[in-house]
Amino acid sequence: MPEKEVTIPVPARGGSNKEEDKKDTEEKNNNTKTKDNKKDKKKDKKEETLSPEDEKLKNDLELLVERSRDEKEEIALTALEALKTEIRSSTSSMTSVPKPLKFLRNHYQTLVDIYKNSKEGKAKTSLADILSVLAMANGNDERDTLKYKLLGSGEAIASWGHEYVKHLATEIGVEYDIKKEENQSVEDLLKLVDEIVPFQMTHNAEPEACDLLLEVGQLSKIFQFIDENNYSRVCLYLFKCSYYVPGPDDINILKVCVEIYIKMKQYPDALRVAMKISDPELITEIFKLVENNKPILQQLGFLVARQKIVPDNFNYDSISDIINNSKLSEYFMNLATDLDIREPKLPEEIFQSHLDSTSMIADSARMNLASSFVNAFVNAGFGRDKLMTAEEDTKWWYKNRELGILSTVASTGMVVLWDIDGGLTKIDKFLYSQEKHCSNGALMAIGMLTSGVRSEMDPALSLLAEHINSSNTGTRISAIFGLGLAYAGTQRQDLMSLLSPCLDDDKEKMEFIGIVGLALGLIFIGSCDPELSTLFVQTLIQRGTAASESHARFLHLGLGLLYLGKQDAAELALETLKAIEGKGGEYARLTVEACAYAGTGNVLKVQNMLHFCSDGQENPHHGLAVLSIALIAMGEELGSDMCLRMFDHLLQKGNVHIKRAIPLALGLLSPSNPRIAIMDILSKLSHDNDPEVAQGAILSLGLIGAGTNNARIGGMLRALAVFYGKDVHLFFVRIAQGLLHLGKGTMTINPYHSDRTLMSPVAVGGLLALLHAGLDIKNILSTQSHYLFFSIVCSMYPRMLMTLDEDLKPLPVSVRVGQSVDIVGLAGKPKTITGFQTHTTPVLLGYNERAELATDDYIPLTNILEGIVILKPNPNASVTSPLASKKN
Amino acid sequence: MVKVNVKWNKEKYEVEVDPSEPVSSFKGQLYSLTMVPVERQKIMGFKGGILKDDAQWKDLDLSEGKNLMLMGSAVELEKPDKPIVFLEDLPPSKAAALNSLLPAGLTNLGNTCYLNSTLQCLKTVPELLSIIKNYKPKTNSRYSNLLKSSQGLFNDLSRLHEPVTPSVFLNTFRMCFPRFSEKSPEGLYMQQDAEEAWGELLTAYAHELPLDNSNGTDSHSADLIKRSMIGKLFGIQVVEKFTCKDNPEEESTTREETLLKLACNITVETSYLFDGLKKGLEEEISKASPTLHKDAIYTKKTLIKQLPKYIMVQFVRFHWKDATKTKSKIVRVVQFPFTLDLFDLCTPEYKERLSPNRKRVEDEFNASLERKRKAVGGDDEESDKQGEKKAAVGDDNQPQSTLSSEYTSSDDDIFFKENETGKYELCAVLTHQGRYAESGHYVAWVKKSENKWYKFDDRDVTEHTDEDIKKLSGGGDFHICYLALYRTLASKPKSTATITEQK
Repeated sequence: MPEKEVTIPVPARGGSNKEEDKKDTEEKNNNTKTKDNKKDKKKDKKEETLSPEDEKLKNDLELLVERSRDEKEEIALTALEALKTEIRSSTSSMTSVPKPLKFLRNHYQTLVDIYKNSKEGKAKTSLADILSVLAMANGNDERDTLKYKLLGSGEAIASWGHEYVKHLATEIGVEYDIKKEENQSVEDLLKLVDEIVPFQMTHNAEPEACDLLLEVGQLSKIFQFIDENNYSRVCLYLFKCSYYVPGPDDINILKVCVEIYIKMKQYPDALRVAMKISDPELITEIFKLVENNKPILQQLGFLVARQKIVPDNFNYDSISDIINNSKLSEYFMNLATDLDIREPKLPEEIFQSHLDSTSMIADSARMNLASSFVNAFVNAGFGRDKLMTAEEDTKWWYKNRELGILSTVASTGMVVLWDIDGGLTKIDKFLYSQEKHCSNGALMAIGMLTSGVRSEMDPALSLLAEHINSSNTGTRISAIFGLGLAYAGTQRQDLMSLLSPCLDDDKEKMEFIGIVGLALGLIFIGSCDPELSTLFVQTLIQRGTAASESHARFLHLGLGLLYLGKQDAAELALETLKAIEGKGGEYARLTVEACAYAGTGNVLKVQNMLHFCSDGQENPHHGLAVLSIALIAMGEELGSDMCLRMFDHLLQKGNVHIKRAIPLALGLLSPSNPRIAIMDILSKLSHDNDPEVAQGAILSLGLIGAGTNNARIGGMLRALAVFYGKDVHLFFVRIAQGLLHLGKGTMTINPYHSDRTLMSPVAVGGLLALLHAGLDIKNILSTQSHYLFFSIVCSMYPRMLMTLDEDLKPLPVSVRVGQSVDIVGLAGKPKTITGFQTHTTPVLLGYNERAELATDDYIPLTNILEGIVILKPNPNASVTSPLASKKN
Repeated sequence: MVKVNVKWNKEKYEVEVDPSEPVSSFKGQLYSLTMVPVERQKIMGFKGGILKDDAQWKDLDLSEGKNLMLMGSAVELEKPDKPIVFLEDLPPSKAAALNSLLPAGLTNLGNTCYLNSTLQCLKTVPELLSIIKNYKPKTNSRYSNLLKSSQGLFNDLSRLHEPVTPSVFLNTFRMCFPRFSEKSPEGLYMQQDAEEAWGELLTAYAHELPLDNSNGTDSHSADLIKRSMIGKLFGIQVVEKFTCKDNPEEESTTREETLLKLACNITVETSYLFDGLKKGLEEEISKASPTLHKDAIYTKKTLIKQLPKYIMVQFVRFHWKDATKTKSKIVRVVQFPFTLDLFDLCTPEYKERLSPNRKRVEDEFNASLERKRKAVGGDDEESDKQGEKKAAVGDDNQPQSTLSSEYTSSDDDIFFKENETGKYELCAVLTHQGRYAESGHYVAWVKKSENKWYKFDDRDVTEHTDEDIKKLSGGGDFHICYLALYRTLASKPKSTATITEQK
């Protein structure tokens, strides 16, 4: 008897005819509803929205609920089974709750009561299953889904669909935290997790699986489920997650990433993540893994060369040329030849001064100096220019004054950048000049030339070492600054013993000490070297009041650079710095803290800096704090957007020191990445009444456009050149114009590379040195120490994609270059670029651009096509592909 | 013998080192290979930095196939012959001049652009500036104040590079010529005719600047102009011949006159300045005929007896329209040349005087052409250009100083030297934009150097080229040439020397 009644509603669902009927009736209903609405809205609405079909379903369900209360377990069980079938078979759509769940909502409490009163047994667990599902739609915070799931029969989790699984996973996350806090066992939860994760991993829900494992601290379990189809999505998601996870968990996540990549034999990717952690052991381990696979080893070599680091404890003789960047000049020239831009350019061609009427007749020392810088920036790395290295001696260097000569001669080093073999000869003649500034400039040029490029001959050290203890302070500064540029990031111990005694030199002024500090900071960047750290702090204490002089900032910066990106490792240094009273100590603490958290996006540190800014007093160090905010937030999109908003407020409310630092901070936020929003702010500030604000803004316009040839910035700068025709500002306009055309538009100074995921510490160091100098633009950059502009050389790198074959010969292939698309957390294989164009390598890549091969003849050895990439022939290449690629 | 590889300037050499020989002999080997002098050789690659001359091979890590690097070059660094003078080292005034700063503009004090542009045009006459500068105020004369304020104003204009506000000058100007202080019903000063201002100014200057002090002040105004320095600079001496049309028998009369401007009458046929000028010198007037004892039509034919150094040409664009009671403008295109030849408008006697000079100048020109053709290298041209540049640089300061010294040496002949060839070049244009003389906007365009013009639009001064000047000939609502100032076409100093010799 009961069976008959029970079975009635079940088959009533489905069937195409009925579906159509239903639609019809619904439509009719809608019609009647609108009519009825006119008569009486409230009363009729509820009843009218239910079609007869739904009405029936509702009644059936109510009946089933009623029956599940039945004394006889058998009847109750059948009713529950029927309910289950009903729920499962209901089709759900994205926007609405399934009908059975909706109708059962009202009976949820009834069912709970039934559950409470029923006896233990099969019916009870079955009811628990149902309650678990119903709780999902009931939407309170009690985590009933999880509760009843645990009480239920433990049937397969997949049987209720992915929505249920997702819900369950969320509640597990919350429950786990609570239980952990209360020290309860989480065994049952973990068991569930073990069930959920495989389901999610196989159902395109890798991000959810990762989230769940992260929440319950079981990330290592993910290994079991990794296969070649899902590893890239998993790693990508985990990698991005690490940005938002506080330390040290972020490192652990990244380490899991490395392991997954290694497991999947994606060594370049593994190396990238290892470099992100900057764990030398891990890096060496990866190198050792591929020791016998030459092409991959070479590719790894190119990666570490881009980061400008050297793997420890690894015999890399076979790829030393690559790691030493020895061929960088060659590759760059190759790019230049391909783009047909080898012909040297004169500064006038950049200024386009023929377009405005401010022609100069007499030689202005300041303008000539600006031209020297511009000449160096524009022809950087090309090895040839028309002022310094021209066949016919133009005597250009002589058209400068005193320190101007120093910078002018030093600029030769930038022109012949990276080209050790060819460049040294061009600098040689300046070494013998009677003019002290000229020979000093030559020393600096030698250092600059070898920046980031190592050679077994060690020319920079051999040539510069003897000048470090010269009697002339200018010579010492040039040689030491040169060494700092040349060996930035190498952490060479012999340099420490050479340079550190200079810090103790009591006779020298702060400028000298500052440069020594900067050089040491650059060389030992991110090393956390305790010996150096102590030495720095001692010097700061000894120097006492002098430590608050303008040039002392480089000593502080040097100390900060030691801890660049090392987060907690800087705590000790920060503690000891508290011993230093006064402004000097404050500057040092801010710098060290900011450097330690550079690029981490650490919100707490940003807030600290903001607090510091808003103490309502006129503190010159407020500027430093503003710069620090940018330094901490850089490289992460959300963070830098928040920065923009903060700066907006600070601009309106902040004091003059804050205002002066904001343009520089904006420059640091997006170097070589001319974002319109930033450009607009800077353009506005470039007309500010305060000369230092305006000059900083102009300089930053150059920084954000560096190496892009951006037409909009170019136009702005030309207008500014006319506007500031007679002011000191013009010098900065010229410099900015030079930066804009850095390497004729082929270079970037952005420290982020490899799809904007990796930060090159050396590049950050170079930028910071320039920007700290910019904090006192009047006393440092525009007067004596303009050579500090050259610190940007540490950040310069060609923004190219060059493809090589396995013998490292250039191999032109067609690639698609387009705007990159964020594909983190997306299922399947989404397109990674949009609005692409097809080019033949070598090509230039913009900051937001990505490239992919447009042919399947080759397989790249690394998944991120950037810098120098080795290709190997694809054994499975389709025969028609050449045609296909042509069509593209 | 140990073989080492030496890299130098992208080249590689294999060199055999004999460990028994001193280091210097190794360097000698390198010298023969690379021509880098021994003392400038820096050899790298050994431990301990650069290889030193007194080093011993046994102390070094010399090994077979060792890679070394040689740095050095035989190139000597040259110093330029003379030291560079930097802008920053110069005194500010000189620096500003070198920097080719724009000259000062004049602030508009309420519809005073007619006066501003007139002043800027007059400023192009260095002689005028210097005589005004040397003016010694006389008591009891009518325009003494005006002269004094002009002195101050021109001094400011030639010295400064920021806009000058001519309030003092404007006040005295309006005091002297009350008709220019006319006000509109709203109480604002009204726009005036620039030509009238020009004329009044020159007349006033003429009044105060007689050639010699002996002459009385209240003689006939035409005489007054003739006998003033202004007359020497701007006065065109003409012969007017009146012939009675109605009575051919009547003997034609002549009259001598000194004009301060040539008028270019514009009719429907006028397309070129010269046509207009010709028309302006031949007109029909009615006057009482002594023979007919009534008013008769006479033709008045004007011929030039003597040409001054500067000539102002007025395009008679404004004519009284009874219908609207306004002076309305003819916008017809009238081309004006950059060089103007007035030879055809002169009296036969004067033509005779001019001819030999014209011929000589022409010959010289041809000869120079010939020279240029011969000098294929084009060196001449370059030096010419440089010369021009230098001239351009000095333009702002030099002429005045030299001229004033000339003046004080009372060498009046050269200073007021009349035109000897009938040829003039355009040096300033005063344009009007708008439809009526009493409204619209006046702007001055002044030649600075070859193909370089300044546009003085009240306080805004901008640079322009010949091309822009050509656009001022009329035809639309753009700036249209109203007054044009021509100066004697400069001949080469050599020729002037010969003239003085002839004299």
